[in-house]
Amino acid sequence: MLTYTLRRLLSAAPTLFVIVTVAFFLVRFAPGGPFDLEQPLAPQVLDNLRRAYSLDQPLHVQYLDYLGKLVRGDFGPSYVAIDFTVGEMLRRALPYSVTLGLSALALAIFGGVAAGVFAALRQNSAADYSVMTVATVGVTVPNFVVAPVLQLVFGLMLGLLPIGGWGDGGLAHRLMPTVALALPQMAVIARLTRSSMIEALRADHIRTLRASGLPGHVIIRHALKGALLPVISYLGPAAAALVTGSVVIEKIFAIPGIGAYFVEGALNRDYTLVMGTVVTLAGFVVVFNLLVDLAYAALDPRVRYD
Amino acid sequence: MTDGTLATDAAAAKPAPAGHSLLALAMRRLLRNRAAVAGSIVLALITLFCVAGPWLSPHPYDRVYRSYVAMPPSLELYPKESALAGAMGEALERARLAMADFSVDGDSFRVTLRSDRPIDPRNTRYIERLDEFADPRVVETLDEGRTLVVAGRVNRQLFLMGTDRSGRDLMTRIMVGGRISLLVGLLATFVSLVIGVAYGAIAGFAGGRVDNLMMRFVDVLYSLPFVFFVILLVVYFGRDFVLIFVAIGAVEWLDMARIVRGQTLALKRREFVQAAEALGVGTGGILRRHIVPNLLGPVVVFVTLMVPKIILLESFLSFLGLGVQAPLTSWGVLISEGAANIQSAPYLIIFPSIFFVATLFALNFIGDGLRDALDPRDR
Repeated sequence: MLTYTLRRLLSAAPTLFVIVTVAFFLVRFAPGGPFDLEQPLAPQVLDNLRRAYSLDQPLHVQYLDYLGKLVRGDFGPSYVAIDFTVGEMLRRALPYSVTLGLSALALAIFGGVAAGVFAALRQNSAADYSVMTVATVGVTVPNFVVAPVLQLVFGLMLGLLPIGGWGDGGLAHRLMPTVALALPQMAVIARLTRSSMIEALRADHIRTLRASGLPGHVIIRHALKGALLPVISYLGPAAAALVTGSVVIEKIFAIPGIGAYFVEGALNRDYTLVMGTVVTLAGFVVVFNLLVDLAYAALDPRVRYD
Repeated sequence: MTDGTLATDAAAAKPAPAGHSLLALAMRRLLRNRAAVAGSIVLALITLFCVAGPWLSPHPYDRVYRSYVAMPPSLELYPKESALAGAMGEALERARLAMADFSVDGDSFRVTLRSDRPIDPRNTRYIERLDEFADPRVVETLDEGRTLVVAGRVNRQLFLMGTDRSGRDLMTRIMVGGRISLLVGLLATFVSLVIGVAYGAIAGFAGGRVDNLMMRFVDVLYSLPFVFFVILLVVYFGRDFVLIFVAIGAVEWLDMARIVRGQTLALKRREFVQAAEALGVGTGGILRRHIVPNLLGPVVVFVTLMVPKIILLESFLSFLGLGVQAPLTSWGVLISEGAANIQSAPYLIIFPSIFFVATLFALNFIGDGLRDALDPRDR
């Protein structure tokens, strides 16, 4: 188990390296730069700026320089938000995004599993069909349609919840963005749980438990243990989808998180800010995938550690 | 005995009952799936609506009607009777002329203009410029040209789904946006199909170390948050239509490669492949003649489920303002515009969303139906 963990950790490193490299060169080879303003700067000023940010160095020197600093946790200065380092900006934005992302993930997992189990236990009943219909709607309707509709109904028409912003970070402000972000993943998890739970309930060892006359909740617990494995392996893609979705959700609900910085940085060609956000978000996804793999290996004895 | 001859006669008269091919059986299973059939019909109708609609629509998709900005959907013809006099008054005010008399009779109008000085008949241009009126012409000149009587047609138009914030017909824009969304979905799926099938078939057929290396590469790519790279590409290299679907297709081939590889591994051990090998058919030939055609089933299923995913991704980009550029539009752009005006004009988000969601539903139902039909084991 220890060697497996170490090996997975080591295989995460090249992934992160690829991400940094691709993002770096993609950004640099693009036409336009951070100092292309509407009124062109004087050549002398431009030269000084480029020297100050080491943009006059050859590309490979810049690249190695960036890598070296990144390893030490230095994301460099922002080119557009003067006097701010990208590290500072990310630290300020991160709490919002992490809170939103984790609560959406928790909601997606618990809501999805509960709905899936509920439907599986009543297979082919009206309750099952209605849960699955709602899940299909959740999978199909994207969150940038759901979010404005939620805003319209609960914010404007009923006036129950604030339309946007983070406020004091209380539940009222967090509720709508969390639900809108979690809904598609919750629907996928519900469908997954239902089908694997139905399969698990038909398994031989569950039949034996039934025949032994064990109470329902014990049987469900045993069946759930096996049924949750596909759900766990889906958590990696789910986390990636949540990270992507948060870009839109943060925009719609005006939450000052990392997703907002990413779009802003890309549009302003703020090289370091874009790199910083991509590396941070990708890092999250990679680390999360790692955790999921480890959890899977720990739960499923059939996974070999070699 | 006579029974026997009769039976032979009947058999000779009718062609021998054909054995049901796999495809025919799959087709029959598909037709029995009501959701899939309904999905196909809805999809066909929406496609027809989007492809043929713009030619039949009386409004060009980029025509701005300045008189009808953000008009709610209505079955009645615009302009409304009550608004006509006001519109005419405004036009004449701009021309610095007084309106003495204004009457509407059916589809024609008659207006009397008055001024202190002789009126230039070219002033009718002020009336013509409005969207409400057409073909104004001077019918009578009185008072040495100080009074003109102008007659013309009332230009009646239908905006079934209303107009947007720039005064463009929403229904035509939904049709044109649908063309773009469906086209991006199909083209990007095609790109990912070609890459994915080629990559997966080669990896699966080569096997061993090559397969291991190729699939490890896919694993690495899998853990990248690829949407961000698509966004970067689109931001930096312009919002080119071609770039959008190439970028999306180049990102979405990973699932396809995995599925195709798994199938190829299984197919490789089948007798007909071994027979072809024994006959001396080259690797390329076996791939082309035997492997790829047999991959058709799972690939078709996957493609139908892929198109909605890509339409979703395209509208995601459009929603962030990174999609196709104005005046061209897509469903994502329309939904984004609707979301911005949700309080004042909710129909702007409702109508595009209905078409968008209906298309996604239809494609998902067809995909699920095809999966059940082609692979009855896996449900």
